[in-house]
Amino acid sequence: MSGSVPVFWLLARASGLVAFGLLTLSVWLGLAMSTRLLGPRRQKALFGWHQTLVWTALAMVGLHMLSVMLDPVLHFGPASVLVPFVAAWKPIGVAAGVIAGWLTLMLALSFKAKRWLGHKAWRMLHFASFAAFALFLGHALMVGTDLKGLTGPVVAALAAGPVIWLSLARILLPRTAARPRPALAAA
Amino acid sequence: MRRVWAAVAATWALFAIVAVLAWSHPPQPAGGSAGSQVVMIKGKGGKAHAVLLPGGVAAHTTTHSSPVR
Repeated sequence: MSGSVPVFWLLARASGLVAFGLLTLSVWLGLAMSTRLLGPRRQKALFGWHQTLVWTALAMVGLHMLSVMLDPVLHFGPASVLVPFVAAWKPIGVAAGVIAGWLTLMLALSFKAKRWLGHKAWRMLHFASFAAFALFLGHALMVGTDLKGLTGPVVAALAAGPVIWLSLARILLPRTAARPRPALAAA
Repeated sequence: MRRVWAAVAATWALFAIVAVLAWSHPPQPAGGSAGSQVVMIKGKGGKAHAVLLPGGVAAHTTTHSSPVR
């Protein structure tokens, strides 16, 4: 890198923010599908978008990791961005991001292995998305340069608010629309 | 097509955020000053006079390394 513009540092921050935004959207969409708040008809298209958002977010996570490694100030090696608690700088905050990244990759791959896993096992595995979201949020708040001060709690509330609300709706609302009516099922 | 739209939107979002970050925190030029500047130095007898420093020379440069003699 030449000059005084910290290109990789700017890229690392921007890709991290975009990845967080995409993952948040993906979690919202997944929960909205689960609660069927968006209607039962468009489930297939929404499921496609849910997967696309996760893979796009993972691409941004990859760019985030690469930018962090190429930044001349941070001195992050491949081990620091791939193995939890290896980074010398803020190891807990960085580890939260590393674990969340691995969890998200596992969840994205689970879409491909859904038939092999079976629906029940796949759904059980999908509960890890809550942990991944919480870890991404923790990572952003602990090490995110752009979420210092009041911005952090505001962004956290905006991202986590719908997740909590939709989770409560998922638990409390009956899922009658998901099952075929007895008359149709018998036919 | 859905993947293309997602990739395009994410890339534009990335560039927009990079632009905002770069604009909101302009980098400090190397040496502390991009252009020439005038500094006041004290000469013999405590008399102060203005000296023009050329661009790229830090105002806190020590006497030993200063290009101003």
